[in-house]
Amino acid sequence: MALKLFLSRFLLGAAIISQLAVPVTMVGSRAWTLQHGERVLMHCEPVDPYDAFRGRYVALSVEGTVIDADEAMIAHLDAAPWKRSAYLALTREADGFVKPDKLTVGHPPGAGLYFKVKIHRLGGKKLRVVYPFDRYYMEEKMAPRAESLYRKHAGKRKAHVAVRIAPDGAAVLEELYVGGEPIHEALKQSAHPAEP
Amino acid sequence: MAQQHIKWLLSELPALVRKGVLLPEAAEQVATYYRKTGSISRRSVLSTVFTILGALLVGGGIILIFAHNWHDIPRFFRLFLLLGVLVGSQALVVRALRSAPAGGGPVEGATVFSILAFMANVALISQMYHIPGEMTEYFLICALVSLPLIYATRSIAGAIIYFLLVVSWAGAEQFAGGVAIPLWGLLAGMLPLLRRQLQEAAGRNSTLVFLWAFLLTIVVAAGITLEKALPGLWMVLYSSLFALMYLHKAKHVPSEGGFWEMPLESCGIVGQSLLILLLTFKWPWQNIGWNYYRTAGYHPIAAAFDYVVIIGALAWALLLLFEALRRRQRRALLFGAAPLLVACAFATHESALIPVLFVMNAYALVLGVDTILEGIRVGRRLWLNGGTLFVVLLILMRFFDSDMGMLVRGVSFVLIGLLFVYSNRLFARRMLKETHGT
Repeated sequence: MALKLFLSRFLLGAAIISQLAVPVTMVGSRAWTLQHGERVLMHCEPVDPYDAFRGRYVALSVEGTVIDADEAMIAHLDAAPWKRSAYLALTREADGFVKPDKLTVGHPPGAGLYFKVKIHRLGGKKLRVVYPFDRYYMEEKMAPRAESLYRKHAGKRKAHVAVRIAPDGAAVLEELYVGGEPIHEALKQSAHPAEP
Repeated sequence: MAQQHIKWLLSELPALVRKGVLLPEAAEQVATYYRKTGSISRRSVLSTVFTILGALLVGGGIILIFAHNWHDIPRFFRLFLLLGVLVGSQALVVRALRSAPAGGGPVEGATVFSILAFMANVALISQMYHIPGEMTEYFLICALVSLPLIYATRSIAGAIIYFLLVVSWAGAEQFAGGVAIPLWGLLAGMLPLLRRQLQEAAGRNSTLVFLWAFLLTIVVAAGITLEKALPGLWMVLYSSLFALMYLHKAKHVPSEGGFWEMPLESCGIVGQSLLILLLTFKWPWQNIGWNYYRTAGYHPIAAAFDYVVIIGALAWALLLLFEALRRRQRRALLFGAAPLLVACAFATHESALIPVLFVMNAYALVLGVDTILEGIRVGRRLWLNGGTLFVVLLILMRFFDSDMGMLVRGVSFVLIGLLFVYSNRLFARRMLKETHGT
C-alpha cells in the first residue's frame, strides 16, 4: 500500500515536472537569444500554407536555400547519409544583409556568424539547406493579406527577415519585413494608406 | 453489477415470488437495493461524462480563444497566462486526486483539462517564437508527456486522448514518408495500466471503455503501420488479428455477458465477419501478390517488420485454432479457421481466383447460418438477428455483383424473408417452451 502511494505520488510529480519543463525549455533559450543574440538581416520569399494547430503563418523561403557542396561534404554525406546536421557560415554584404558562405559538419566554423541547419541531398552536388526558421505566425486573417502584399513587390527583393543568432549557432526569428516595414506596420499602412 | 444484469434480476423477481422461492418482502428489499445501486451507477456515469465534456469544452474554448493570435498583448504577459493555465490545471488534478483518490468524474475532467492545457502551451509558444517543427513532433511530445499524468490519475479519458495522439503521430509519420513502427512501442506503454484496470475493476464500464478504445486503436494501428511492400498482406494480418481477439486466452478479460461486456470476442467476430464479407468481392484480390511486389519506395526495415508481425500473428492464431480443435470447440474452430483460409487464398489467388471467391462466399454463408443456429440454440436474439443480417448482406451483395436474372433474385428474396420469419418463430417458440417448462 505504501509502495502504491509512493508510486502514485512519484508519477504525479513526474507529470507536473515534465509538463512544465517542456514549455520552459522552449521559451528559455529563445528568450535569451532574442535579448542578447546578434541581429542579422536575410532576404526571403514568403508563401502561405496553414498549420491547423498553431494558426496561420507565412512560410519563409530564405535566399540561398539550395547551395553547391564541395567534395569533402559530398564524401561525408555518402559515408553517413543519416547525419543531416551542419553549420552554415554567413558573410555580410555591402548592403548590411548576410548570405550563406560555407557549410561545415561535425564542428562549427572557427569564427564569425553561423547557423545550425539541416541539409538534404538533392542530386549531383546540390544540397537543400533547411534553416531553423521557416515560418512567421500571424493572425489568421492577416497572413493571406501579407502574401498578397508581398506579390505587389515581387521580383524587387522587398521581403527580408531579422534573425537573432546566439554564440552557439541557435537562431530565433525576430521580425518579417515587407517593403522595408515590419509586416504588421506594412499591413496597417496598406489598409489605411496615408493622405497625399 | 452491470446495468444489464440488474435489469435481468429485477425481471426475475416476480417469477421467483410466484414460485415461492422468495418471500414478497424479501423480493421488495432486493428490488429496492438494486434499483438504488443502478441509479447510483447511472448517476456516476453521467457525472463522469458531463465532467469530461465540460473539461473538453472549457479546454477547447481556451485554445480557440488563445489561438486567435494575441499580437496586441506583450509576449511576457501571454507567457504568464499560458503557464498560469497549465499550473492551474495541475492544481486541479492534485485537488481532484485528494478529494477522490479512487478516481471518477472530477479526476477524469481535471486530467483532460491538464492534457489540453499542455497541448495549448506547446502550440502557442511555438507560435509566439515562430518555432518550426512538424506535426509528428507535436503529437509525439504531447503523447509522451501525458503518459505519467495518465498513470498517476488512471484516467480513462486521458488514455483515449493518448491513443488519439499516438495514432495521429503514426498517420502523420507515414504520410511524411517516415516509419511508424514505434507506434507499437507507444501502445505497449498503456499495457501496464490496462492490466491493472482489468485486475482491479474488470466488470466496470470505465474498464470496458478502456478496453474497447485499446482494441479499436490496435485495429487502426495495424493498417497504418503496414509498409505494404507486398500488396495484399493486410488481409492475412487482419484475419489473424481478429481470430486472436476471438480465441484469446487473456486473463482477467471479461468472457461473459453481452456484446458490450465482451470486447475481445465482439471485436473479433464483427471484424472477422466484415473482413470475410469484403473478401467475397473480386476487387480486393486484384493487383496483389508477388507479381505486384514493390521494388522501390518503401523502408526495408518496416517491410521486414511487416513479415515478422504477420507471420507471428498467423502462427499464434493457428496455435489457438489447434487448441480449439483439441477441445472440439465448434464455434471457435469456425471463426478461428479464417486466417488459415485467407492465407491459403492469398497464396493461390493468382492461379485460382474463381475457386478462391467460391470458397470465400461458401465460408461466409456457413459463418452466417451457423451464427443463426447458435442464436436459436442458446436463446440469444442478437446472434440470431446478427447472423440473419450477415446472410442477407451476403446474398444482396452477390445480387448486385452478378448477372442473375430477376426471377432468381425474386425467388431468393422470398426465401430470405421466409428464413427471417421462420428463424424468429423458432426462437419465440423456444423461449415460450423454456418459460412454461420452468
